[in-house]
Amino acid sequence: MNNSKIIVNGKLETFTAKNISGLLLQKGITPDMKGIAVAINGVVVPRDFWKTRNITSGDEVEIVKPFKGG
Amino acid sequence: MSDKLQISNKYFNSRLLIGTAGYPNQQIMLDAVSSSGAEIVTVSIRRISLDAYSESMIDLIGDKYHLLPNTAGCATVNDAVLTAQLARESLQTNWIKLEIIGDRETLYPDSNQLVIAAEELIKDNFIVLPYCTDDPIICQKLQDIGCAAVMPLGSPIGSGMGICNPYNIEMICKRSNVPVVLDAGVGTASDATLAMELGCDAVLLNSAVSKSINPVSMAKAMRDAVTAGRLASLSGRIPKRKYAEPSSPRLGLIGS
Repeated sequence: MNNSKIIVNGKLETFTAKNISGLLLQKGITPDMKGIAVAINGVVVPRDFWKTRNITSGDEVEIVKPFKGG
Repeated sequence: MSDKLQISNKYFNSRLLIGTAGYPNQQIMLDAVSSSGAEIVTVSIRRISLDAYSESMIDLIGDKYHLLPNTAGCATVNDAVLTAQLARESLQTNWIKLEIIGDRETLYPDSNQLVIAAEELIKDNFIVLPYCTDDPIICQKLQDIGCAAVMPLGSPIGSGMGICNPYNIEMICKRSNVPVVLDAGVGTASDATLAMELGCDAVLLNSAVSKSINPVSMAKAMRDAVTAGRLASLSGRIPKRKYAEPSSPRLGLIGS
């Protein structure tokens, strides 16, 4: 993988954000929005660590929230 | 008479659990959920849309109901466990409706993977409510490893075929030490009543309400159906007989 690329919700993209909070803001998601959860490389990153968990090349990021469901 | 549903350490007045998917629009969903009287409401956990804003389920219903996230659509232990962990972070709940499907066509649970995932989540302090087949042995295993309830299907998800094997559901209920929640297959109110009459502790449904012609009134029908079935179950049905048994007195009949 190119060394400036990450995967966000299944899509390969170039990243410039330093940490999770920065990535969310770039996506138009305010980090204090209720219900957002983030995992990187298959591990959930609690909200308290969003400003300190740096994004690094090759990371696979999942950003989720609750939707309708049965 | 107090007849609350207890799952793990929580008590509920309603024995109907309802889903939030497939309604004609958001307002009908909200009205139907309200009309159902349900206190436990299921939601899914999905990737957020990075292109368009959508309203949060938490803002819509989070403060009124006990939200039960599911792992719907997951086909592997890893995906189900990660989805449960994301749900816990998202909703601040350790309750999870555990679903691992084995096949996209039947949406039948993959029992082997279900047991493995349930064990993993229980070790991680989750309250696990597994969606499972109507197999008494699998239900027993899930109970033995520490699931807070078992949720056997009545028939395939969304099929509306009701309870295809009432004998198994009854057997599961008789053998279970944890609540049995009939999950999937309910098509109309009598199916929900039958589930309760067979001994289920609760019914979880979605499509039977959301895809009915009038979801709000069907939700009320389901509420009443579950209540009626529960009362009938507690009251004890009469035994079935092959021949008639008159209810009016035989003595004093004119002409006798």
